[in-house]
Order: sequence, then structure tokens, then C-alpha cells
Amino acid sequence: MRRALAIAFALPVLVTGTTLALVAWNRSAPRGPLALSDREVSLSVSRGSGDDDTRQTLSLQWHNLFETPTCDRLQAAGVPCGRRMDYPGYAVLELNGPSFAAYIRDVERANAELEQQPGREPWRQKRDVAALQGEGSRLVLVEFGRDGDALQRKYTDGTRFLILPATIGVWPSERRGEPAGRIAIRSAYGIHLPAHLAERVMPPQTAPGDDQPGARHRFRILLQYGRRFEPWVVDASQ
Amino acid sequence: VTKDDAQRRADQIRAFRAEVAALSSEGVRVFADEHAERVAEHHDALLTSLATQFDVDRTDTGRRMSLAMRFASAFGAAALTAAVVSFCYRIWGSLSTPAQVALLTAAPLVALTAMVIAARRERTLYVASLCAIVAYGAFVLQTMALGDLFNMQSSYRVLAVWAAFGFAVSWPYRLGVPFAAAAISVISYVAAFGFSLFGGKWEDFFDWPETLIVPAALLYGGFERTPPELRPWARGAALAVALLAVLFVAHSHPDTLLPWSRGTAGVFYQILALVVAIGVVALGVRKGRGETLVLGAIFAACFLIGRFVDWWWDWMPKYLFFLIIAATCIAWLWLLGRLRRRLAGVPA
Repeated sequence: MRRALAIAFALPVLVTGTTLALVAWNRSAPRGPLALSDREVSLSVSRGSGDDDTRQTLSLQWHNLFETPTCDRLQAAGVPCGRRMDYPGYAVLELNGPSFAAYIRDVERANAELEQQPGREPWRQKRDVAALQGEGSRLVLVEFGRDGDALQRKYTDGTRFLILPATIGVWPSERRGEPAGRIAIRSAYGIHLPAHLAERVMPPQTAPGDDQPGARHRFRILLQYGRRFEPWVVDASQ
Repeated sequence: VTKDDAQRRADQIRAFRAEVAALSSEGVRVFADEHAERVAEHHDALLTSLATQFDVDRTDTGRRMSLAMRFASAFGAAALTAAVVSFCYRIWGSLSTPAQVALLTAAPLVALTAMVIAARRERTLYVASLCAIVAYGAFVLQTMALGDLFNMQSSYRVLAVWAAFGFAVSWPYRLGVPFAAAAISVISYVAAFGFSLFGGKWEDFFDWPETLIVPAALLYGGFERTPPELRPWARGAALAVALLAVLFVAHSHPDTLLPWSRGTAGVFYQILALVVAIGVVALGVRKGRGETLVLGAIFAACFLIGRFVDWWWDWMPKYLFFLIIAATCIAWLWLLGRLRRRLAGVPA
């Protein structure tokens, strides 16, 4: 009885100790920081006045160059394409690099196709390229794979590239060259924002009717990631 | 002597007294007066001792009250756990990171301390059981919220830690609910580990319910050396998980890990479900395990009704559909009746 109780009392302390040790190990080799702005980051902050959930988090907005990768592309990234399944992996996001320019070109091409054949895909709409260039996120998914360390060796510049744990979903297609997967980066959402940093980027409080249409809340976030590809916010400012 | 043994003895004494009173009113004297007095005195002393040691119910009203208290304890535990989680989230944003870590670590420790104090003060263990469930909930919250706090990658090993905590909390005072939760955590751990060997994301093991069937079935028989008060909880939890998984794969034909097409695997699981339904009910009857019998019967009913709906609902006249269900129930009654007569040694 005593031994069982001792284990029960020890486990919460052990869990906290292990967690802190893993966090220290992750942060002992920081990569970055990546300087993100309100273009790439959306905040979920609460003033704590009567809210039931006052967790402060941020989420990354990013574009995808591999909207639906083919089996060949998946296999090249080390992902088996024989079974419908979600695999754990890693994704590389590039900030404001050549991939962003490539993404803009993709959008322009798609807009041109829509103009030439207006009735072909009625569910698709033209996208505002100027708004994308001026206000849209400059983070673009450029690479994915199952081996995070291999990606780390390839994308060494932590101020331009962010490597995060991702899910690589596979749905094998009968025909070669057809879409066969999708990339989801769950770790890009709900990134914890410590209270002292959340205060710095809290949107200004406005009285009812004071809202200025079009006024954008500007802020800057510095993000790093470590050995375990776990990100953390190192600084935040308006 | 466990609490169940003590309650069984108290029930035996009550039944014995009722029968002696009935015989005496029918004019049959079982004991001479002096013997009857000695037996009554012995039973009174025994009941007092059992009530002091194990808080057994001496009357039917007492038993009903106990059941009501058990429900109140379970609902109270669920509500208190929800209150702890909601409170944490409500004040979360105003705390610094060290304070958040300290709060998460302290919550299960406080609940554990309350459990130990409550267990020393009341023999019924209703409050201790409530505190144990809250401690388990707070511990789960701790592991998950710490992960969120530091944006950590999740690991299936957390399920093993939940299991260890559940066993450690339930063992000292033989508390069933955290023991059942620990059993489910063990099953989930084995399933998640196995699923990760296939290369999949471990969190998805739940979308592949067949990963749960084998560990749950193995664990069902793996609690023979645990205290008898905890055994039905663990067996019930393991069986419920296994049967729910079989029911789901037999009905919904999700993606399969078997080297067959989804259709072939679906047929295989339907046949398996039928065999399992019969097997579990038979096992429950043979071994006299109440929880096994009840779960097996519920499973068989759900499986058959699901199958009937799948096969006939769309095209069959409704009166015929319900007639078939009624006929199946009557056939089931007849089968159980035969089984009961055979067990009672009465020729069929």
C-alpha cells in the first residue's frame, strides 16, 4: 500500500522533471530566430476578463507548394505510398524566399487560366495577388520528409527556414501522377505565448463604435525551434 | 476477507433469518429456543463486526442507499474534475510559465493528499474514490497541458504513465474507477505502440480500432493476480474496449491493417463478432462473471440489431423487420432458458 502511494505521489513530480529536462535539451541548440509579423501569425489572446479559456496562443499562416503531392513525390520524401494512412514527419517552411515568389507566380498562372476558361471550374475564384503580396503570409511550405535531421542538414539557415513536426497523409491513387496525399502541420497551430509576451502584443482595447475599418494590428514575433523541432516564442513586440 | 466477502456473508445471514422466520410461521421449528438465541447473538455480533470493519449494508434500504451514494460519488468526481480543468483554463492567461508548471504539478498531489485523508476518516471510501478520480483527471491534465505549454511533440508513452498512475492510485484502497481507467490506458498504450510500428501517427490508433482488439482480449485474462475487488473493473473495462472495437470494425468497415481488402476484412470481422458474442456470453455464464455476461449480452444485441438494420431496413416492410427482431428475441429467450435449465440440472 505504501509503495503504491509513494509511486502515485512521485509520478506528478517525475513527469514535471522529465518534461523540463526534455524542454531544456530541445532548447540547448536553438535554431533561428525567425522574425515573423502579423502577416504570418494570428494571435488568440484573452484579456482574462471573465473568459473561460484564457490560454494565449499563436498560429502560423502558411502557403502550400505541395497542395496534393503525388505518390512519386511522397516516396521521394521517404513516405510509403501503399496504404491509406497518416505518417508522422516534418515540414520545412521558408520565410519570404524564392518559394514565396514561386507561389505568387502559381497564383497568377491560376488566375490567368480562370480568365481564359471562365466556366471550367466555377467553384474556383480569382485571388487578389496585390493583397497577397502586400498583406499575405510569406511563409511557404517548401519541403517535407520523415527524417527531421536530414531536413535540418539541408536547410541550415534558421532565420529563413522553420522545421516543424507535421503529418503526411497518404491516400494511394490508382493512376500514376495523381494527387495522393496532403501535408498538415498541426504544430503550427496553438503555439504557446507566455503571459509576459502576450501582454506586449495585446490588441488595443477599443470602445464600441471606435473600430477603424482596415486598421491592422501590427506586431512582430521571434520564433525559434530546437533539437526536437519544438518551437517557442523568444520575443514579441508591437 | 474483502468487502465483497463481508457483504456476501451479511446477505447470507439476512436470508437465513428470513427463511427461519418463514418456517416458524409455517409451524416448522428449526432450533430449540436456546439454540436460536445463541445463533441470533452470534449473527448480531458478526454483523456488528462486519459493519464496523467493512461498512456492509445490513438491509435492502441500506443497499439501495449505497448504490445511490456510489452514483453520487462518480458524478461528483466527474464534475469536480471538470471544475479543476475549467479553473485552470480560466486563470491560465494571468499566470507566468513557472506558476503554470507549479499549478499543474500541485493539482494531482493535492487531490492525492485529500484521498489519503478521506480514506483515513471514512470507511465507505466514497469521498476517497471521488478524490482518486479527480487526482487521475488532474494528472492527465498535467501531462497534456505541460505538452501544450512547451509545444512538445506528443508520445504514446504518456499512456503508459497514465496507466502507472491509475494503478498506483487505485491499489492502496482498492478503488475501481481509476483501476478501470488504468486498464484502458494499458490497452491504448499497447495499441498505440503497435500502430506506430506500422509507421502511422500514434494518435491515429483510435481510427484503426482493430489495434485495440488483441491487447484488450489479452488483458481481459491478465488480471487473475490482482485483488478480487478490482478484478471485475479491469475485466469489464478490457471487455468493453474489445467489444466496442469489434462492433465498430464489423459495422463501419474502416481501413484495415489486415492484408485484405476492406470488404473481405469487414466480412471477417462480422463472423468474428458473432463468434465473440456467443463466446463472451458462454464465458460469463460458465465462470459466473456478472460483468462479462451483461457486456456480452449488450454486445450481442447491438451487433444483431445493427446487422438487421444493415441488411433489411431499406427494402423490407417495417412490420416484417420488427417481426424478425421479435422472433430473434424469442429464440434468444428459448436458448437462454435451455442453458439455465441445464445449469440447474433440470432435464430440457
